[in-house]
Amino acid sequence: MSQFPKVILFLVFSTQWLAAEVDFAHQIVPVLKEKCAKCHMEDNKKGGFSMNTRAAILEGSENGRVVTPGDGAGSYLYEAVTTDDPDLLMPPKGERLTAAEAELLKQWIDEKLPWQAGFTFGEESYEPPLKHRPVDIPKIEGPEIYNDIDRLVADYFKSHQNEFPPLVSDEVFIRRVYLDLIGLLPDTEKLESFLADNSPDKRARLIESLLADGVNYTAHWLTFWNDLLRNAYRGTGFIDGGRKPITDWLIPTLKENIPYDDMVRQLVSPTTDSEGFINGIKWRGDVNASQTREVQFSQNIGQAFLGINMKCASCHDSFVDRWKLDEAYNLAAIIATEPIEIHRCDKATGKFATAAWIFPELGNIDAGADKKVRLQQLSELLVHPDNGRTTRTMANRIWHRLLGRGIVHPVDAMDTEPWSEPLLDHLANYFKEQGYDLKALMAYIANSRIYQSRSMVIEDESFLNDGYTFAGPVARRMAAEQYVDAIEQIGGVITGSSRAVPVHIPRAEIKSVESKIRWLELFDLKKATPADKKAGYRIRAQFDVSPKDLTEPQIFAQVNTGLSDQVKINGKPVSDLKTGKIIDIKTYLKPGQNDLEILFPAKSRAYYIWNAFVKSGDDFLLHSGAIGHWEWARGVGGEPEWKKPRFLNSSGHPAARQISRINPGPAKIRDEILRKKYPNLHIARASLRDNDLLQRALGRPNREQIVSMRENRLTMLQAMDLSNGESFSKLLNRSAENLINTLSKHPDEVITSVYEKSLSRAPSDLEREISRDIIGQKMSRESLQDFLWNIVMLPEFQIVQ
Amino acid sequence: MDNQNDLSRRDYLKKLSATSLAALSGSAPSLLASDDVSHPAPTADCCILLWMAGGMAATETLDPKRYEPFEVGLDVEKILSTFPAIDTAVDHIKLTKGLEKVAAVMDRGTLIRSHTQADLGHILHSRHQYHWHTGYVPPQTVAAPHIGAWMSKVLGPRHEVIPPFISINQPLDGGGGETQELKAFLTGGFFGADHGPFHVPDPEEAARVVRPASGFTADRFSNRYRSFKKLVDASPDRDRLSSFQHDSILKSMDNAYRLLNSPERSAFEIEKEPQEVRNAYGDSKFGKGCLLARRLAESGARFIEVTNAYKPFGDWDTHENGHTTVARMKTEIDAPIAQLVLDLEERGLLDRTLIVLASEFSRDMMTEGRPGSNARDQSRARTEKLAEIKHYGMHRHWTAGSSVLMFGGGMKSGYLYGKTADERPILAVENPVSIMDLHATIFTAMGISPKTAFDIEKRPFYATEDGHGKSVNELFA
Repeated sequence: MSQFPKVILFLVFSTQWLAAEVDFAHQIVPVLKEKCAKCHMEDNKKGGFSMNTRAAILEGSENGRVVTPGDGAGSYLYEAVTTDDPDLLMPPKGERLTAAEAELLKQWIDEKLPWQAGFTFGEESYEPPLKHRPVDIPKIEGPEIYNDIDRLVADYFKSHQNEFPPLVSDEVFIRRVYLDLIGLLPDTEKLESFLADNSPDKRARLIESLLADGVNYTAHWLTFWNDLLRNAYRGTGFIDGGRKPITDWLIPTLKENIPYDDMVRQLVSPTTDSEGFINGIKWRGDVNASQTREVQFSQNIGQAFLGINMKCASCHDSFVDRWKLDEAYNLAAIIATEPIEIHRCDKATGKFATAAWIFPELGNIDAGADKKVRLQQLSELLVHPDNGRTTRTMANRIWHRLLGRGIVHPVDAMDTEPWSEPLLDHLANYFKEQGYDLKALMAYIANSRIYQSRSMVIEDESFLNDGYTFAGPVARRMAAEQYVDAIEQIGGVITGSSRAVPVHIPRAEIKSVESKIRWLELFDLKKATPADKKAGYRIRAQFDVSPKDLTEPQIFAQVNTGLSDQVKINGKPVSDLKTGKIIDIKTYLKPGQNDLEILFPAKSRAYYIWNAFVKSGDDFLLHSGAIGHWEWARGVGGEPEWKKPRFLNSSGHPAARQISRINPGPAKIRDEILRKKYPNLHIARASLRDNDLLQRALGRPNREQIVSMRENRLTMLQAMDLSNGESFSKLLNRSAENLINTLSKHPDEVITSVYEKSLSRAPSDLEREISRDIIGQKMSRESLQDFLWNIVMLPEFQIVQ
Repeated sequence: MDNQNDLSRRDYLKKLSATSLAALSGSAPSLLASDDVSHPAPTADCCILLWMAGGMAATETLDPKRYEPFEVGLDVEKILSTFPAIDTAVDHIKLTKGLEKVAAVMDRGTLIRSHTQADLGHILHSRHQYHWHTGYVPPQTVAAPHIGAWMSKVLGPRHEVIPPFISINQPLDGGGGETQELKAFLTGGFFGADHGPFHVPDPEEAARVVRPASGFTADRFSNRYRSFKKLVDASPDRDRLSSFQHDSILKSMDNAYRLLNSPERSAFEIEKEPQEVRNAYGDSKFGKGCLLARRLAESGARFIEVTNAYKPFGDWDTHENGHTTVARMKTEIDAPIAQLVLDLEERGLLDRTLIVLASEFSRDMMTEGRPGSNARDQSRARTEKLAEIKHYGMHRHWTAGSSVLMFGGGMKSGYLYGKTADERPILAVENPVSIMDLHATIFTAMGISPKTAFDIEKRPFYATEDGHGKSVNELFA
């Protein structure tokens, strides 16, 4: 057993207190080890009670005191080992203590529990340092030393009989760093110019330029932050406003590279755009006490920022680490507006929590202050200059992203020992010195020799866990978002959806546009008289245009006419308007009253939407005269007899007759309008879209809980989706179709191009030969699709080497 | 029997996947070794869950109470059932009109009339369904696995190419609001995607799921895979790739390809059934799902869920017009359930296949939730006296007494367990069976100890909450 050497050690020194009547070593230790170890020693703390050390025994259990030094008979421990009540008896299973053993314990307690200094029944559990610690950088130089990270790694390698893996080739490097920093594949042009570049600092310059690409950096790291801050666009909690996305805050924050300390401040002491994180999910109905919004707050703050697991402690004193129920609740109380009662395993304890911070060494929360102040205080404690846990946690997360395995691993277990304390400390210090600049930290790591080293060949994944020794970067599987983006990039395919934007459109703006889209539900000819049906009908709207509006260079309008085939403004047909596009109608307009007329031939049902927009600078304003007064008339030819409509539509405007709303009109129109302002609306990054079938299949999570690491393997069910899934097949098919129209018709050139785009390298002769067989003599959409499938299935493609 | 090579290879793969899963993902669960856990001898090898999504009213289906025919002016308080009772193959068990075919096979089944669910305050189908499917009330701090994922994880596949956990009829996309939330429990949870459900959203299209995508001929599909293998071998960097990741991709691709090419995939093709068999299962999507479930059970699936697919205010989720809707639902479920039982029996499989029909809760005409619950009334046909047919039915959710029907898999035949009160409130008054104990029973039948636990984020997570589920031993034959 692991304690064995310690016991020996202890026996050697035990003479110090042999004068005591009870021989702790020979009489107490064996009894405790035999009867109590299973539940109360080493990592086991049943009931929150550890017997590892004297101090731990004196501290008692979560139910209170277990021993009263000097009063053996009155101590709970003695009662528990002697009682006849099976519910109280200890140990609960196995043989009970003999009367003699119980008496020995009583005597030992009477003697105030003599103990050997430094002796413990458990392994010395690792307690991470709280504050930043200076790190002595070893004085090592050499070709493999690019920066201080490498000095620390070299030192570690020296003591672990390892050396730097070989430097990766430019081809591997460019693909890796693109995928790691902006989540995209390098395009052929970038690849070629990088390979052709002979300057020694080209890797550093590439890193710098990638991090400067704010839009793509944001779209890529959004995946990481959405997972970590459990930010989703749809799903649980959104149905009734019980959950609020923070996307409108997160995207500009990443784009502007707001320092991490400010991010934490803004998340914990939030604005309306960022409050979704601390408010968690409000579930309808009753929830377990450990899942109230306040306790979720405690868990999420602990996990996201400190890598501390408060999930155990929010139900009972943790059995596995040092966190206590009270601490979890006191942290929760910071956000509470009402006193919160501490619940143990969902049962009220009668005790109430007091707002408090978990590392009082750094300061504390003024429990009497109001919530806003408390949150503000908490945010400052989290990013306190001396708080090294926050910086180490984030530095470790970034290291994990870039090198495949954390220095502490899993990355949310920051209470456990890192494989290199100096390296973790150094990264945390660097991060702090750089003003919590995330990009600076990424650049620092990416510029190290170790980042640019070849990934390890790992036979067995368990290598990464038990007794792990760092030996180099670990390759990682592309995230769902990266994978989908990469394929769309190769195929040059545009995937559209309403949120498919590289530049995020704030929700408020989308709502504002949506609210201005007016519906005019029209005459339903199914219910009309036979004469109406035969004749069809027309409608007319009149709206005002001011002379000032006409000084604008363009005035746009949108008409969605359903079945109509003719739109006239002031009597002149405007042919393109009927297609639903937004077009410039300025030349048709005159100051004052204008007439818009839409003719509907005899069809069963029709609807339309009409909006006019005035361009004002870069903005598009809804024209105030966009909604006019409507009239209708039977027939599409001859002189109309204009009549007032008989109903109001759902927006309160006159309509011929109310019929049901027709979809998907508004979303399309909204996107058309937004596209005027955001010309890149069509470039879609997967992270910005709603989770869909394919991304879900590839492991994009629901984000109800924090996810800091995704699965690293392709599962059989995922392979099924990639082998015969309809949506994946369609994606490849569209890619093939696009490529066949844009690429050379020569198979060899296509093969080279696809290899370069996908794998950042040229195909070997053998690969070229196999590829030629796949594509066949005559390249078709099908054969190209098959070729693409082959490439994107390759482990070399799916894994970031 | 499989030959020796196959077995060892499979064992090897199994081992490989177990160790690899327990690694990089931070939420990697590992089995908690505890000397308290010994798995019971299984009485079933396969479990088919027939999921009545939306809250099936027990008094309208499996637990007839005083029947009052529709009559304008009738006090709704008087109505306990809107269907008369019918006899079954078992003298002392009655069902309601519309379930004649199920009644005829009642002598093969065990009926629990005292299933109860937790009161979660405001009634939300997604939360109650999450609870029923995972054994845990949402929200949870970790993603709780579906019971099918437990079976996949603990028992593994029963056949090398048939996925162990199959979900039939659950639409995957579209739908807003609550249907989105269903996705949270229809997953492998922290066991990972490997143990998640293999989805067959439409039984009529099931063959599609295991066939090459549209536009593919079998040849093209095989060629594509062959050339893939060649390209993998030709990859110049092959030896430098991290082998566990490389191998996991190739292994999964290989498994997928084998299923897509195996003769067993014909298990997914219900069109292979003779017309009279198809007729026997009826035309409903649920009926077709039952037929598919039978084929998959025969071919070696471990756990199959067939659902009518939850639709807010649709099917069993009657907020108004309950009688009419339930009458229709019975026409959709009666024949296929009975036929499934008979077909499995005829094939000698019923003994080792556990069929469980259940729902997230029952319904009542008067009370929302249970007596004393603070659940908000959600009826859309509120009235004290019947005025029109839409008032006639169970329009409020009821968590204090529902019915579960089981067949085969080691359960007793023609057995009735538990009882609800004969007057309101229709509480389970005898031998109540909680979700936890029902799960313990199902797990026990499948040979999984209800105390089985996995270590996730350094804490134990049990097959039944805190390992406390107690199997209802009286139900076993």
